[in-house]
Amino acid sequence: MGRVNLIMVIAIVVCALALVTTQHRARGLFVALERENQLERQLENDWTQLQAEQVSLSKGSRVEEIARTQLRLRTPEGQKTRYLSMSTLAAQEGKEAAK
Amino acid sequence: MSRSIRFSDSELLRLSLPAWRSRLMLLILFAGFAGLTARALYLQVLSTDFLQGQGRIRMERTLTLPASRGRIMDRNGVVVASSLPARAVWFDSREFNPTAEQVKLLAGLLSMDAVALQEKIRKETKTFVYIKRQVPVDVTEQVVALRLPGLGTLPEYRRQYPEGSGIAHVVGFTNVEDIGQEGIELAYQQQLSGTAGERNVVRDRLGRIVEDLREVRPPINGHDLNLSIDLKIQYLANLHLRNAIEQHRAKAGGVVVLDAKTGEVLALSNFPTYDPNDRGRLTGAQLRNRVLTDTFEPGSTMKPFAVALALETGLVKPSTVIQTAPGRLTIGSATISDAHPHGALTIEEVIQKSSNVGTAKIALRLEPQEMWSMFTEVGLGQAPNLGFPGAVAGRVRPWKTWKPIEQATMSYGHGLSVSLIQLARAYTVFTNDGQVLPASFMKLDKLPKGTQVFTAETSAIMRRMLEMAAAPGGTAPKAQVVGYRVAGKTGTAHKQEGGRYVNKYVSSFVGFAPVSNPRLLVAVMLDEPGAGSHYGGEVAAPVFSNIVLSSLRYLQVKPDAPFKQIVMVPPVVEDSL
Repeated sequence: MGRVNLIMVIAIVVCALALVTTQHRARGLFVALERENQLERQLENDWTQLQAEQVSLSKGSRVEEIARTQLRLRTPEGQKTRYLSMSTLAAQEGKEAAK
Repeated sequence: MSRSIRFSDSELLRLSLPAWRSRLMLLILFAGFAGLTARALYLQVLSTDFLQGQGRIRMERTLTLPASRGRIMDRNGVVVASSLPARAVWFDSREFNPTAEQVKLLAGLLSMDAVALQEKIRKETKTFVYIKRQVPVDVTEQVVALRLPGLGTLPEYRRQYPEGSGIAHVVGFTNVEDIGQEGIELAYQQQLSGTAGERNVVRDRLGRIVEDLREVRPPINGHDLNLSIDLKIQYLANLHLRNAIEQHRAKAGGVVVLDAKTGEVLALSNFPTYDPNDRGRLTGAQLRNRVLTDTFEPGSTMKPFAVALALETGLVKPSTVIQTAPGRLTIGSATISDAHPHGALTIEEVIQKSSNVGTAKIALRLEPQEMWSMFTEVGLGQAPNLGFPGAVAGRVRPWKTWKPIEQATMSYGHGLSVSLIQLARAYTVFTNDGQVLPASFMKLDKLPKGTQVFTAETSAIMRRMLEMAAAPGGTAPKAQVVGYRVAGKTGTAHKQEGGRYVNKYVSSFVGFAPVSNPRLLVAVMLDEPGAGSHYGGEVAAPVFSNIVLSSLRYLQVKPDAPFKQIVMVPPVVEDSL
């Protein structure tokens, strides 16, 4: 009778301690999860911000300005443009391969 | 033997205490324990709700999870409007008593006027007063670091428009409450705005969240929108419209570019415009989306419709000759005239030379009801189904009230009013084998269902006539584009002021290219060009030409017109050609 009681007491103490540790670990993990969620939100915001920056940096007016002034590019006239169709390109490649 | 309690058997200690004293003591102790038991019972059984409620108030928090507004993107997925978290700075006037030094610091951080802020803090008596809204988060972190009692921040969102004024009239903007005020932001408020979520949590002593009490209701973010706009074409339209307005000193202007095969709006540009990120000094003129909200008498751009209807009903053939000499036509008491008298013209030449008399003579052979229902079918006189705020219907009077003179003038675009987008949309009957397409600001996944107004043959004949009009010998040779066949019609309309025609004009041009397989449909309108010429062929056609040339190049459309190439071709390539 006394042995059974002793075993029961030990079991109940172990269970109680296990409950406390588990609870503690659960909270720890929860806090970590919260932190990661926070980070996710932060990264999402950064992404939005960077997208906006990308758009304002690649705005048509800015690109044209830089192309014209800094790089001194200009639009070729239609007469000075050679249009190639896919078939001519293929033929050209074939010829080069034959050589 | 008395029944008193024996504490000791010692003779010395034996006191003969009265028996009632120990009994009294026993009673007091019993009463004390009974009291405690009753109290415990009361707290743990009878008043649990109250106590648990109090506990919850101290530990639990309901957090609102703000939903972010959907982004707006162009057809290639470039973001033109997105929301960033921001904060509102507020104070409680009972607790907020900063020193002059602190106010200066705060005003500096928020880039506000220190004197005005000091005055505001002194005057306000409410417990919640905004200082500034939509402040970037990094700035508010510095504000919080000042640790001023009575000063707080609240999370909110700030809308940003990286493209700025370039697409302002399409996208519109939101107010500080994140509610759409103009343009797509207003029209699609429902889809863009999300639903805020909620979570019940337990916070520990340090304010950290330790546990979710109930299932989290996640925020539902607003839907992203994919516009039909192509930012590159939009930029080109803005650029060429602005140049033309400066060159011709016009009061205002608008351009709309439609995809000729789908009716999607690829670009919509108005001038004057505004920057949606900086709305400090907005005027009505800047805000006006003229393409959709302003109606004007379209003038000659309407001629192809009456002529197409006459062809469709078999009243005339392209080669039918109409006598337009002497350049005047009297109907009742009114006389209509041509700018230049022409003589006998074929139907093709009537369009090519843009003869008012010729068009009127053709139109007078039509039934008023037929003409009215054709106008209605191509979308005139009714608001376009765009879901866009402020899109107007224009005006086409019911056919029963038409007098012959009115029917004649309407055929060349007077006595009715349209918006530029209606006009552009109506022209899809010529680019799309006689089917009129609904215009759309949203990128379409599949081809929209058009309404057949004319047969494909009539549409093809009209394309040829309109190509003649935009060619040398027509009214708009300046619409020509090197390498591409273009077609289109000019319009020059007198403006009415107080019911009388005054010496002010609206110059317009509607056209499409390449004619062999139309891709772009461009409508241009300039309001009151003031530097010399006011003819659509001189003012609006070059804008069309510039936009079409640069846009077709950007879209990598193969030229369909023969032109002399002067580029030197390396021999290898020459061989293969």
